[in-house]
Amino acid sequence: MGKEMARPFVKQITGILLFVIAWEIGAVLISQTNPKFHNNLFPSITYIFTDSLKGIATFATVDLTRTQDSSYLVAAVVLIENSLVTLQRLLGGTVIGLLFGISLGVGAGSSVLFAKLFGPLINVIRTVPVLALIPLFLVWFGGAPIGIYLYIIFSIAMMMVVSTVNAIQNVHPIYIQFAQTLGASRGQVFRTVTLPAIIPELCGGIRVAVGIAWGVTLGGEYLAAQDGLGRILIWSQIYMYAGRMVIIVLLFMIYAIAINVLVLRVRRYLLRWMA
Amino acid sequence: MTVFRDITLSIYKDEFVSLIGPSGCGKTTLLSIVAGLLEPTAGRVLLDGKPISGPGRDRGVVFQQDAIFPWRKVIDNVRYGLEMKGLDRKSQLEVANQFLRLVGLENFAGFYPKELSGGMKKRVALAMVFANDPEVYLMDEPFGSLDYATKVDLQKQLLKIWREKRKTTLFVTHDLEEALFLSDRIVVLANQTVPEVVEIPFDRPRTDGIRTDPAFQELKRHLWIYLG
Repeated sequence: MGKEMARPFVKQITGILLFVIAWEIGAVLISQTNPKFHNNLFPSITYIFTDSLKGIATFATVDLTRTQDSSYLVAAVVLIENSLVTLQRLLGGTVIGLLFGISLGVGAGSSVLFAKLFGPLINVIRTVPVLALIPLFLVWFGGAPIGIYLYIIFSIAMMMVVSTVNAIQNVHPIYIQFAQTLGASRGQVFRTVTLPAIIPELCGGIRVAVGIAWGVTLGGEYLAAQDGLGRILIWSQIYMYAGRMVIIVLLFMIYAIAINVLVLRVRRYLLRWMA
Repeated sequence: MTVFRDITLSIYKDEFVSLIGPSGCGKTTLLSIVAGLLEPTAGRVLLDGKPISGPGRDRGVVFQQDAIFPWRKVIDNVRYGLEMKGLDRKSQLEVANQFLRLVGLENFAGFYPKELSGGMKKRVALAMVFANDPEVYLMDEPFGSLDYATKVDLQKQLLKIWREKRKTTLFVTHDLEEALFLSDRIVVLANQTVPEVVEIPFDRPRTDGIRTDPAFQELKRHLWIYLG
């Protein structure tokens, strides 16, 4: 059993190792054929985890181009601080956006008047790609954190409204009828049937929303933020430090995986009753 | 759309009446109107002389499809109606456990419906309706999707409980043997005409033996003519 389990793991590790080796060979070839780029264009892995990592420390100072007195410790502090800023925006914005969107969806899904008044409006607004709205939010809020938050909340909420309305429409009428014949009032039907019945579909929507949240959080930070991982990424791009960009991308990967695991755990708990 | 017209039917207190007929004749429609889940386009339904308006806990319905709530454990399903009524939790559990024992599922209280067989899910649905103590049982082909042995077993359990509780029951089925085994009267609903009512003479309590009784077979043949 242990061996059976171990084999796919070995294969997966081999795949990653092959990629790392290919990257390293590519980096050496490119830096030799284009000496003027050194390690800036396609840095080797050793370069990324030494020079590039130390270079991150420049973001601790106001002067972004000063690279002399950089150290690993400062770099680590910079990465942790900015990670916290970005994760706070991501998680805070997502949670508020989810609550707001689900509430709106519940309103639209259970009130005919609400659906008639706001349904068409929401459908029209929803067709706008959320990234197209960044400049508008920039004009309204400048680089203020509230603008980034509102942008994330808006994007997540718009998505969740629609999946909530769909989920409510997809609740099988037999459950509602059974509850009614057992004496449940309108409010009781909503609380004891509609809400639990929409959770599976909402979980699907939430997973997509969390994926989108990464995109819109970064989008917000690219354009407006005074801090956060997105800002480090965009400034590294301006100065063509590919190695620093790779470090930020690696961090994103780690966080995205961690959050996905968290979402899956919560989902598994909420849907323990499902086949 | 007219499913049926000019139907007049009285069901007496504590009576077990089956509604049979070919598919599409309006059995389920008629039952849904009595349940208050459908509005009749014309005519009216009275319960104890009062017109029916909407579904209510006085008319318990067992549906053909699985309608028990998959997100609730078995015991929480059975106490659902009592919870809606606002009974305190201790009494809810007490009554629910009593009815779980009645349908033989006392060892499955903490299970989710996904862990149960089709027949067990049906028993949970029955327990939910019984525990809610309605005045009338309405059953829409409740055993239609079950295999023969499970079906026969549940028919006997249903009769046992019905004898104990003595509730007016309207039972929709397309299974003649089931209708004959369970009912005091069988109403044949066919071709939008005046329904044919057949009295079932067998004594209660009934055993599986009557299924092969010549009189039983004769009645079955008689009913076939109406359906054909």
